[in-house]
Amino acid sequence: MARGKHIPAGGAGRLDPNAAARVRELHALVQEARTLLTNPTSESLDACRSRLEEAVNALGSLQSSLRGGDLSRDRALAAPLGALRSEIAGVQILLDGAAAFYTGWMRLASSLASGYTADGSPAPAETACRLLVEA
Amino acid sequence: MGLFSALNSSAGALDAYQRVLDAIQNNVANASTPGYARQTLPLIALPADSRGDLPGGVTTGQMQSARDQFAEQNVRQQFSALGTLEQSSQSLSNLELNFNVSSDSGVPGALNQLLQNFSAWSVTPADGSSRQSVLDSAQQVAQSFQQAAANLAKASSDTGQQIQQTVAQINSLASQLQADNQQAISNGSNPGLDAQINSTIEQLSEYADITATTEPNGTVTVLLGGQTPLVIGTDQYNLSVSFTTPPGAPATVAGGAAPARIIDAQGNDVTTHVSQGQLAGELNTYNNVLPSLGGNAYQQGDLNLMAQSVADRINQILTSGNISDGPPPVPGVPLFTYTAGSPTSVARTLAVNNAITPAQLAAIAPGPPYVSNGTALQLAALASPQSPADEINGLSYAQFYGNMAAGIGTQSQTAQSQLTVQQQTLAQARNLRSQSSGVSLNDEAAQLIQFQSAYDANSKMVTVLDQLTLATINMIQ
Repeated sequence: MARGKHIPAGGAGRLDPNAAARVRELHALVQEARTLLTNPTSESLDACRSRLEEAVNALGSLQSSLRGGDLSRDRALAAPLGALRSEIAGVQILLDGAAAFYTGWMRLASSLASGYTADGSPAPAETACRLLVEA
Repeated sequence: MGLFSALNSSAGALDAYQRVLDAIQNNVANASTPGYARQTLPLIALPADSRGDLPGGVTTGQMQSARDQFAEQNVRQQFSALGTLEQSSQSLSNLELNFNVSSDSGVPGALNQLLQNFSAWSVTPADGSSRQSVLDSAQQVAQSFQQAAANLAKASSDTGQQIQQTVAQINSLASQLQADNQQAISNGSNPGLDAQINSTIEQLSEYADITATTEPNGTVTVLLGGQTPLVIGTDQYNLSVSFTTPPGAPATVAGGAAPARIIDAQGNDVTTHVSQGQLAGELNTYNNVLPSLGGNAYQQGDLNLMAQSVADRINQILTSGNISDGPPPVPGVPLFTYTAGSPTSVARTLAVNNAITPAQLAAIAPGPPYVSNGTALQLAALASPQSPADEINGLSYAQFYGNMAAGIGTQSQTAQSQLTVQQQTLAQARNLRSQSSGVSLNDEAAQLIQFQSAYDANSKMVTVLDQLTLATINMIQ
């Protein structure tokens, strides 16, 4: 699977001068994940997960580097981090949209294929299984 | 099986395969046709019995559309949501341009200048040029309120026209569907007609939230908001727009414009059935967003409230003062005028009293205590109010306007960011439609299990990422 951009880990205990650039790179990673989710196939979901995982690791290392620095000088990071949060919210919306589609379709398909249960909910669809016994 | 039976069976099979090839060819030829759905033709084995007259072989079943109605409806819903956001985003960004939060121009700029000139006049209350500057800047304040009101009135008029155009467009598309239904009844359904119908429904869903159901005879039933019929069989039900207050909710603000209402073919108010699509966005702009600023039959609007508060307070201070000590003392005259009795016309009609001269500005506060520049000082103090009488809802005039402009800016920004996500959600719905078209229930079930585990993994990552981002934001603040 293709890897996203590599984000170097920041050195803990000192202020990372490139923090804003690193947040922008993180943003780009999440943006890639969001784009992948517009076509939610199994492959693109896998690729999306790896991007998000990479972003989590990179954000963890960014946090460590910030912890050791002068945080007041990094208030300028608030805007790019805010934009990153909006991007993450967009990922969540697309993820939930795809989940709602599959769940809704399966409920409908189940009711068409297997009818309804006694309590009125769609009966679970049974996948076809065949056992052939030859004498 | 006799030779004749065998030949007959082979001929039948060839015919069946030819029809399948035709269906495939049709799919390929229409791959780029908007609204076209892949057609599949199932092959059915015929019973064979070598002892009897059943030759076996293969035939084709009923032509069935692979279109997944569920996926179609999902696309339509996302289209409707996109229509709402596109409209809202456009209206709000236009409004944002008219309500600049900077104090250099427009209402805040003019008001700031007037308050500065009050201050200068309080230093030299007898100076003619200071008094003239007050009148000039008061003129600017009146004009800037008039301009803002005119911009709002134009936006309202434009939106009203857009609502009428959108309703006409909905009726026109419904009319096309009615004609398609007529064709389906007369000539039977076919892939071309099916594609045409679906394309028209998709267009319609951009304007409003539409539910479409295909009937066994191939016709399509189209409902607005799942309730109001637009097309049933060969009958079409037109919508119309009414700009009158509803019978059960008479106007509460004199002179205010009535809201826009959508009326169905039976004369019922079905405005609440329009919750998505471009029409919903236009109705929200016309009935909620613009009236919150410029007023309507149910509210005065913030711009009018501000214009009235500013004019009334300045007039009150000036008329409580004296132009000269006399005897007899000459009382002050009001600086501003506006049409009384019409709360929604205050900003539009705000003007400087045409009878006032620089010499008639009352600087003297008769007291007690008597202060020769008392009213001028009181007017200058409006910039930093110390009493509730100088405020609107607890805010200074500048803060009130700032809140109004910031509110529009925030709404505009939110609509813009939602629009971007919605564009991707629509793209996702379209991709899901093409993925699911023609997939069997078994495959779909397997796909769901795969998706569920991928969804869980992704969702966990998103939660962790969001929490980490929030923690990082908290660290730097």
